[in-house]
Amino acid sequence: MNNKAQALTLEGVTAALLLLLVLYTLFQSSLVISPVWSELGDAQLKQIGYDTLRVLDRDESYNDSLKYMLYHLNKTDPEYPKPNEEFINSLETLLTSSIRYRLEVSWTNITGNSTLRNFNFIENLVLINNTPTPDAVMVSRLVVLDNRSLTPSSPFMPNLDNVTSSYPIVVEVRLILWAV
Amino acid sequence: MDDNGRLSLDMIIGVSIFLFVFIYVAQFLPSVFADVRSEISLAHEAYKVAVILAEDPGRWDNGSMNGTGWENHWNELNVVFRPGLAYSRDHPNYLSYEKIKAFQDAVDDNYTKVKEYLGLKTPDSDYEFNVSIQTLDSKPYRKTLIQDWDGNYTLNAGRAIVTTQMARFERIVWIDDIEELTGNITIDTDKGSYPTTICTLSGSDVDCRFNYIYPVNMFVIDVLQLYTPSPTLSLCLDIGSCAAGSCSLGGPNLIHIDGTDINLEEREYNLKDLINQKFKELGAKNGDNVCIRVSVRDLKVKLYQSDTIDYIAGNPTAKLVVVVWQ
Repeated sequence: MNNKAQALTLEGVTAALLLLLVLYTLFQSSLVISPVWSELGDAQLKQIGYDTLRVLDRDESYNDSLKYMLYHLNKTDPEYPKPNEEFINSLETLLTSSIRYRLEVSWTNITGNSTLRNFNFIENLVLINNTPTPDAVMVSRLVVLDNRSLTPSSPFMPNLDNVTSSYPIVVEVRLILWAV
Repeated sequence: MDDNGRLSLDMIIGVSIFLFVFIYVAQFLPSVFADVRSEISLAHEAYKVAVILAEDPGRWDNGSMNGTGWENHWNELNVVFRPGLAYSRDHPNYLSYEKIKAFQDAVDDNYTKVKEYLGLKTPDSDYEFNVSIQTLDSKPYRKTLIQDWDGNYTLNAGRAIVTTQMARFERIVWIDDIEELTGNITIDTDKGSYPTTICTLSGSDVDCRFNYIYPVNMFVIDVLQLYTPSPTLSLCLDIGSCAAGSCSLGGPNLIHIDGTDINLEEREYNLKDLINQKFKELGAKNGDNVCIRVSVRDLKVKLYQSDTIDYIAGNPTAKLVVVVWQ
């Protein structure tokens, strides 16, 4: 029998199935492979973070403001470095229960004496120590504190030998956010 | 017979299947991504409108005059305007109540015109929008709008949302006119002035009652003046409807809140957290009706209270929500 020019059915069907499988996988994953979606989610989360810090950055006469919280951090407090309750309540009201957060501050510690000042020490402090997920976003805001309003037990108090400093303290408040 | 040079049937079938699938994919794939592209462009539009409204005071121009006070000129002849709700360019997120109300009126008056001014209607595109001010805990599936003291919505402008294919962008904002949002409840015991709808005079004391849904969003007392001889303020908390009688006043120069005393001074007290904590201790659950009875003696005070808006760092705070769809 001459088998030439006859269809090899099994190979043909396998090839067609393979193509259909690839097609199906492509359709199923088309939204996942689009990176722009996650970027849009990040943009909304970041905007909420920036707005939150902006709303809280008010006069220190309000107990739930960012400045009040920073001025009242006290190294002798048993709960240090946890922020005051009013601040946490307002922060969590703004972020709502669907967003988790971690709160950090960093600043330049001034050391030295009457003739020499060093600004080389970047200090970091984690105020709320939650562990972020890999897709977390970070926002920050710079807050200027008046040196003269700080108490000796404040973590931001300059470490100078018998010298009073008039340098303002610039604190970077970092809020790391992720959705749950 | 010589079979060389003939086209194999296998190849014809293979090429046919391949071409068929390839043409099908080529035709179908762009329509799959069209949805994604469309929603991404919607998100950009929603972001743009949210930024314009939250961060810009807006602008108006009639050819000879212009300025940022569009809220006073939007309905004049030959005026073009760009709506913006910010109090000023230096205060992003700080919204002007007057501009909010003008925006609501302008959208109600001519939705299409405002759409053009916001850049949502161009020769190439036409988007629908809805802009509202919602509570901080409002969700897309459970929308809670902020209400003025008279019960009207503060802002709910644009078309009703009838589609699931839309983009939503939120900004956290605060609003400048606390009295429009919470009502002006001023009590001056020495002058005998108080809002008669919610307060009564009882001897030299003024007794008021406020009904809420737990948890309370805002309860601020601004003490303006202490009178002699015994300035006092007491708050009694009830779950359900208000208990009979007035809240008994305690010792002078103190604020008494259901067993907790705070020194009474001429300043503002944000009592929301303390009141909610007390209600929680009394067994209140989310959504319960609760009542706060207030008694005042020898004081001039202002009360700011709201069922919807939150009071954060000295300002009424809410969410500006922009939804855009095609």
